[in-house]
Amino acid sequence: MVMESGINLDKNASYGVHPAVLEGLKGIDLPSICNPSSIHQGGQGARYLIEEARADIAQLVGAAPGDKVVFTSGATEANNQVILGAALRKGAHIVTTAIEHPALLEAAREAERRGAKLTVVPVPRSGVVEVNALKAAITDNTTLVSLMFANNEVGTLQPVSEIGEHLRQIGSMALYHSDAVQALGKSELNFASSKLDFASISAHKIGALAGIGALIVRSGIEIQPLIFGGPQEKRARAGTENILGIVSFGLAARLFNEEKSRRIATLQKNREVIWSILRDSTPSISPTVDLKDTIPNTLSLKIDGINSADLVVALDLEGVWVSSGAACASGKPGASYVLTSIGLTEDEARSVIRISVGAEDTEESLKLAAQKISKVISRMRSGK
Amino acid sequence: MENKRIAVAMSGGVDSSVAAYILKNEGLDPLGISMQVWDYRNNGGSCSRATCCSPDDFTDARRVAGKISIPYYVFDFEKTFEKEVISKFVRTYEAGETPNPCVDCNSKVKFHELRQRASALGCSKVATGHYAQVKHTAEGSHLLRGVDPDKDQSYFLYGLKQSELAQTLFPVGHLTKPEVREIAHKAGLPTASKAESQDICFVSGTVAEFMKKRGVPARTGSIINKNGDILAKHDGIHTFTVGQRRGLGVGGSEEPLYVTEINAATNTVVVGPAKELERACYLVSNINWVNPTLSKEGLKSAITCIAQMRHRHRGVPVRVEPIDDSTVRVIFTKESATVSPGQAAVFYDESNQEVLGGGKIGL
Repeated sequence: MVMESGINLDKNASYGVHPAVLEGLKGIDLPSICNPSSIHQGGQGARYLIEEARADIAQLVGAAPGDKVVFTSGATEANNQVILGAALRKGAHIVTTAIEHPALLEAAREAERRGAKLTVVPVPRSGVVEVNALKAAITDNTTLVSLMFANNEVGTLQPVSEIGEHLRQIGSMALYHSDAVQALGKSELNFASSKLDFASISAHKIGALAGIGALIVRSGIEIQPLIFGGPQEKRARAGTENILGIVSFGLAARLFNEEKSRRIATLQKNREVIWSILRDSTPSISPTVDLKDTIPNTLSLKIDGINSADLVVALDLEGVWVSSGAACASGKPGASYVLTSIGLTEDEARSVIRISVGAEDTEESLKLAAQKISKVISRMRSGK
Repeated sequence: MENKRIAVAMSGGVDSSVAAYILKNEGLDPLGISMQVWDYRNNGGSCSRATCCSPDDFTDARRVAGKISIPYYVFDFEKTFEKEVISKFVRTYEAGETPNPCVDCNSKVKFHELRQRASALGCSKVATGHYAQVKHTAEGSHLLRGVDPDKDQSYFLYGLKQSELAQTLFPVGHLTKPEVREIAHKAGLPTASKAESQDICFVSGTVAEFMKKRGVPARTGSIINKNGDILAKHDGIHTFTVGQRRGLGVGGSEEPLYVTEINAATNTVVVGPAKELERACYLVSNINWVNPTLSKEGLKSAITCIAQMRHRHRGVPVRVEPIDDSTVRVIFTKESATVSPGQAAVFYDESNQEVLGGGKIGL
């Protein structure tokens, strides 16, 4: 199979393996890598690579000494481990928001089916949950609060630190979790100072391989496994480690650690290249939410009169990859619940596309992509 | 520059797979589109039987698209399909007639909305895996039967307009089914050995069960003869079709009995011997003329031609007389035949090759 390549402006779905990560992976002597639990030097080599990666990832998320990085198959598993493992006990009460990723919301609904009480706090049109509304939902009996760091579809940063502070102030017994997938590498994600107990992260959103992620666990918290078996990951996650995935995650984390502020500034600049061209060339186009509230790489746009599912296909045929709503495994387009829950009508929601850039995108490719987007919208509006 | 981009409606079956493969090999630029017409997860349907258009079929279509390196997309057609195909299917059965959902799907969904959306993507044409052929002449586009007499699907395509036909390709229409399978095998297409789809794609169990799910429960009623004598009870008129012989639950008659009429107003099924089914003539309404001349001018005066009254019917010689712009009277000229109200009657030229037009059978 030979597929056409395109300009990936869908980095929130998957970043694509970073060239530096690919180079790093090529340097690993795979035939001599053995089981990291083995005593011999084949095992020791593997163990070394894993622990190096763990340290780089801990640094990237701003973990404090003693905080744990538990490798999982991805953020979905990490979310499930918190919701169905740590939080699910007799009398559990979970508080979360309406714009969480399905990897969180569906796990929470499963917890509800298993007897937990679930409170889903609505989110206003700004795309940012109201601190007071969230505070009001937290009771003395709340066992878990889960608030995403940044929304995957519209990019809005959520008041994670404020809620963390609040939980400390009221002396809440609730555990505090954040699905931090979209904030990783794109904002000052600081696990420790946000007063989090858990955070879920995913490797393929920062240029590593898919199929690997991690649950960050605050020092002193015992996390129940979701998957039982051997004593790997200090008994928090059984099963032989995904060595290649973990190494790729570590390589990406190292890269992002080295140039974190420069990368974040570049993301902001790159998004502006696209937005300035579209703003000046295309009528009736507007950001879905205020861009100052968002992670710097995400540009959710409402384009009046355009069916975004058709636009995504038309742009693909022009070599530009964007998305409408969240990536959907079935490939079937539907109105995004994130958009409708923040108050867009179904029709409005069906006219929204998400552009998400990376720090490696060149100005030339971004300009070309923006011009193509503008051209295709204009063609679709003229009905030709 | 000639626009080589062509949308191929891919159902996940072998015919549309080979259609896409042929276009790719001809140096054209096909892209695969599957139409999500029905929510199988919430509504049931034939997804478990792998007929067509289910999520498993989309996976097959996606694999074929990957194998031949063409882009592939799933488009949501649920709203149109519900309005133009399913609602009409239910209404037709409620009226005591026999619906023809494949005709509606072709004319209202595949060759209408799909064509519009494909055109918005810069596609100059729409291709499907139908066994039918299009011939373009100075007059316009002619719709012909597929070469394989066992597979010919031109009957289901009589609803196409000239403008639609002009932008339509049937890449397998000149092939027989065994030839299509052979091409698929040689090309290593993953759908090469896939079973045929047969049934109505959105009905998984019986029609009665489907109607019940749609809020049209079966109402028991009487099976009567033409004199009005009650012979048996039935469990709902929508399990019957005019011309049906089996499963009537009526015994004790010397000659075999057939359904001769379904009366929705009285909820009765009328049965009688074969001779009561035979008609010298019948009406056809909602006519669409496909042939270029007829489509331009309409039917000015009576013509003799061949009428096909259901799929796999060989066709019989008839005389077709205009009544008004959209209605004709059909008179059997040699032998009479059974007609089912609601089904399509499709007229072919005297060589029984070209579709002239067609419409819905009334009485």
